[in-house]
Parts: sequence; structure tokens; C-alpha cells
Amino acid sequence: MERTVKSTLAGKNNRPKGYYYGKTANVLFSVFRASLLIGLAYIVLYPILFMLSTALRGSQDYYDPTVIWLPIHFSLQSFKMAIELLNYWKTMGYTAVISIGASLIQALVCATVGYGLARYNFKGKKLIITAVILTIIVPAQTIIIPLYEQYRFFDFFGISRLLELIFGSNFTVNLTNTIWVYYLPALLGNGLRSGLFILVFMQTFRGFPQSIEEAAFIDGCGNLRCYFSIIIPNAINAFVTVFLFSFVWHWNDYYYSGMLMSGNSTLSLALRTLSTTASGVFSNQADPVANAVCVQAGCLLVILPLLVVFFFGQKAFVESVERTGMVE
Amino acid sequence: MKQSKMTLQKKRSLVGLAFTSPWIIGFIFLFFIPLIKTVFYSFSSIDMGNYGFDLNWVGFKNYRVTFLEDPNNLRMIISSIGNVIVSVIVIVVFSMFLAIILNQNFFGRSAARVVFALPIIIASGVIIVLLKENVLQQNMGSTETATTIFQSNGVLDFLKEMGLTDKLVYFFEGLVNDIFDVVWRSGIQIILFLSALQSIPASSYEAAKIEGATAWESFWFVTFPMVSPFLLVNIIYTIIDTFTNSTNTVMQKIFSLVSGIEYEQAAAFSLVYFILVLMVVGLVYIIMNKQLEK
Repeated sequence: MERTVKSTLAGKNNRPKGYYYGKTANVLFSVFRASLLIGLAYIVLYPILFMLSTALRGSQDYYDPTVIWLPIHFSLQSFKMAIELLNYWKTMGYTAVISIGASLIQALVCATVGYGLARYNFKGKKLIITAVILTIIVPAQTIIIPLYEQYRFFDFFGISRLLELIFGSNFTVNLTNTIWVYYLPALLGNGLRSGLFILVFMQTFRGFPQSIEEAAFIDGCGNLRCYFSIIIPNAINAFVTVFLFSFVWHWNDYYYSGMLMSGNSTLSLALRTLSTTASGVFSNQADPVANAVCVQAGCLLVILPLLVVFFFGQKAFVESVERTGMVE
Repeated sequence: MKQSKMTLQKKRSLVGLAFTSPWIIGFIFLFFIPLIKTVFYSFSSIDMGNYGFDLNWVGFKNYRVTFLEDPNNLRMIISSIGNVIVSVIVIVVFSMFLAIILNQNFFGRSAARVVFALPIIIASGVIIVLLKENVLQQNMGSTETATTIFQSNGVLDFLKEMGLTDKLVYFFEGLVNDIFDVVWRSGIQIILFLSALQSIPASSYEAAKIEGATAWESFWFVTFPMVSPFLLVNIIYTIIDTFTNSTNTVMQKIFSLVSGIEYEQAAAFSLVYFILVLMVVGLVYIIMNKQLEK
């Protein structure tokens, strides 16, 4: 705007002294910005490119020093190997059941709790909010051992102990290595990073105008019905964000599952031990590179579903954090 | 008619409690009881029993063994604070800088935003650990042993030529070598800052321009105050993320104690660490909040 006004008023020959300086500075800045962004984007994309380039190599290319990024002999051999060793389809199905189910439950329960905290006043609410923040701060490592014990000898508030007193045999249930390790905490609002999600929902609901609910109440809508048919449809953006983040974190989790699940039941766990599994297979061929290549293919296979979800839901990832308004 | 005697306020507080009740049960069962148990473990020696562990009270023995008999552990915890302070400053400054750049208008902006959000979906997983191991193994074969993925050797000599002191050069070396970690751990921070920047109305910049503010001034007097609530969120998020990162040396130590079935020591170690984290977060929160209120 400013520039066109100046040029029409003063004419081309009478441009102010700073004009050309400003233009050069702009161009220089654009070049600087472009090179900076390309450099940093390279750092971000490097692992994916590296995996792709390594995993697509045929065995002829392993020791070829001229092959840096683009393989000469393309081969899907390592992918086939990784699919077999990871038991890919079965493991992925199980991981998907865990991640999708747990994150759906988690989003719904965290929304309910967040709504309760945002809209209703009751004794001890401040205490509860402080406790929610506490659950975010305490590292999982602090409570993982008693938590393991809690699942290994599952006894809901002493019911099993009571049954044992009556019937005389051990009634505790072993929940480790079952899907309940994920579903139960999600159902009780204490799953992976639930505290964060509760705060997100709390902030979202605080931003809603109270008048929507008041109108519903006047029309004779109960608390529950109001929540399900008015609040939830209006908070769909927050739901999508929380669901996506929760899905990704469940999919990637290997600390929690490493403690509470055994063997290679989830993709992350199977991937962690893939190199060991593969070395068992490759030991007769004695080729350490084949092993590493197989691991790279495995990595790609594990993040492939995430990448698909990410590119379809990237708008929700990148833009909806803003709408959920994490700031007070 | 008895029901209607309950005041509306009382009824609403009951409904609110009902909405939060799943969380309260979960908190007690999956967080509070385990936390109290951890405290007990740290004062006991543990045997495996029928309903879990059998505990024998041993007083402060575990703490003594962990922190006095092995000087490394105490040093590790203290140096972790220093690491956290440095990496929080670097990550927050970097992500704010990048968010400001990504907020400008240029060709390919939305593609750039997608790329810088990519670490969110990958960095939380096992992949990054495997990748680092693999690249390190590759470099191990060559004559130099690498500790990070990207290295800066030429730059260092250049900086020394420029007459910087050795300490400063090593500081820059650390920063540049860690660029991979910094970029990979700023995903969420960048998105948060970006959304903060987008919430600033364009009219405030126009007003500042009319008043004759330079770009530098309009950053400090318009952008910065508007972004500062997000700054607090980001700083606290980064502190917690850095402290509880599983690649952290303290976290790895706790993990190895757990897998070595030294639960008592792991409990003592992680409790001390947790109290420290709580103190740091609380301190930062109080200081920042006071600063923001000004």
C-alpha cells in the first residue's frame, strides 16, 4: 500500500533514498529464510529419507560406496523380511485395536471430566485440578513398579481379597499383557497423558458461551442430554485433536507397554527387538548390514500408518491446537 | 416433594462430581495408591509374595545406598538440572524464532508447516532411538567416533579464527551438534507459538507502524506481550518433556534399576528426582507468573 502511494505521488525518479535499500534487504531476507527453512526441513526429513534410501537397497548396493542416496538396484526384499519378522499384519491389527479403542475412550472420558471441571462448581474442584496437573508432572517411571503390581494382581478396591476370605482361593486377576492395560486407564481418565487432554477440554468448554446450555435447560434438557447432544457436537474440533494425539502416542508408546506387555505384542515392542530377531535369522549369512537394512524397513512399516493418518489429519494437527485454546 | 428441597446449587455440584467421578476413581486407583506405594518401597526391602510384594521396613537404607555409596547418581541428578535449563532455553527460543518465520507469507508455507509438525508423530516413538543407534553404528566404522547425527567441524575452526574464546566455541559446538535434537523436540512448541501468533490482530501491528515503531520495537512491544501466555505453557511443557524424556540419563538409570529388579533403589531414585522436577516446575511457574502479571 505504502509503496504504491509513494511511487504514484513522487514518480519513479524521485523515489526516497531507502527504497532500493529496502528492496534489496527484502530479497536478501527471502533468500536467507528459504535457505534456513530448507536446511532445517532437511534435518526433519533426514531420518525418513535415510530409512527409505536404506530399505530400498538390493543386496548388491550394501557395500557400494557410490550409492549415497539413490539405490542402483531397487529391491523390496528387506520389506518382505521385516513383514515376516515383525509378524506385521497381526501385530499391526492388535496395535490398531489398542490405539484406536483406547484413544476413542480416552477422548470421551477426558471430555466428560473436563466438562465437569469447566462448568460445575463443587467442593474440592481446585484440589482436583491441582491433582490433574500433578499427574502430568510425575514421570511414569516413578509409579511404574506399583502400577505393574496393580495390574499383575488386579484387585479392585479389595473385592478379590474379600472373595478370597469367603471362598478361600486366590481371586486376583492378571491383567498384564491384556488389552485392559490400555483400556482401563483410558476408561478411568488416567491413561497416557490424560491430564494434558483434560486440561485441553477444560479450556475448550470454558470458552463456550453459557447461554447455549441455559437455552437447553429452559427447553427441559437434562444435564446428560445437554452434554451429549449440545456440548459434544460443538467441541468436535477438540475431539479430533485429542483423538489424533492420543492415537499417535498410544501407537508409539514403548515404555509403558515394555513394562506391562510381554514379548512382541505391539509394533513398537516388536520393532525394538527386531534387530535381535533378525540377527537370529541372518546369523548363517553373517551379514550385519542386511540386519540393519531390515530394521530400517521395519521402522518405515511401523510409521507408515502414522504418516497416512498424519497427512489426512494434518489440518487438525497443525491448526486445531489453536481452536482448543490451551491458554487461560 | 422431598427431592425438590435440594437447592439448585447443591444439585449442580453433585452433577459436577458425577462428571468427574471416573477420573477420581482412576486417580486413586492408578495414581495415588501407586505413588504412596512407591514411597513405601523406597523405605523397604522387597520380596515377591502372593498378592504382590512383601515389604520389610529398612529405614533410609535405600537412599543411603543410592546417593551416598554411589557418587555418580547424585552427580547425574544435579547435572540433569543444568541440561534441562540449557535445553529449555534453546528449544523455546528456537521454536519461537521458527514460528515467527513460519507465520510470514511466502511460497510453500503450508508445506513447511507440515514438515515441522512431523516430529510430533515420530519423535515420541522407538524409531528415533533406533535411528540414532543405527547412524552411530555406521559412523563407528570410520576413524572418527561420532556422538551426534550432524557434526560441525569446519565451523569451529572458523569461529576460532574469528577470535572467540575456547569456552564460547565449545558452547556453540554443543548447540550445533545438538541441532537434530532441538529441531526434533520443538514440534509442539512451534505449533503452539504459531497459533499464538495467529491470534494477534493485524490492526495492532498497523497501529504500531503508524506510531513509527521499527520491526524490532513492534516485536518487543506487540508480539512478545501477546505471545507470553503461550511462553509459560511452552516453557513448562518443555521442562516436563525434557525431564521425563526416556533418552535422559536419569531416566535410563531408573529403567536399568527396574530391569535389574532393584525396585527399592529405583523407587528412592525416582522419588528424589520427581521432587526435584516438581520444585523446578513450581519455581519457574511462580517466577513467570509474577513476571506476566507485571
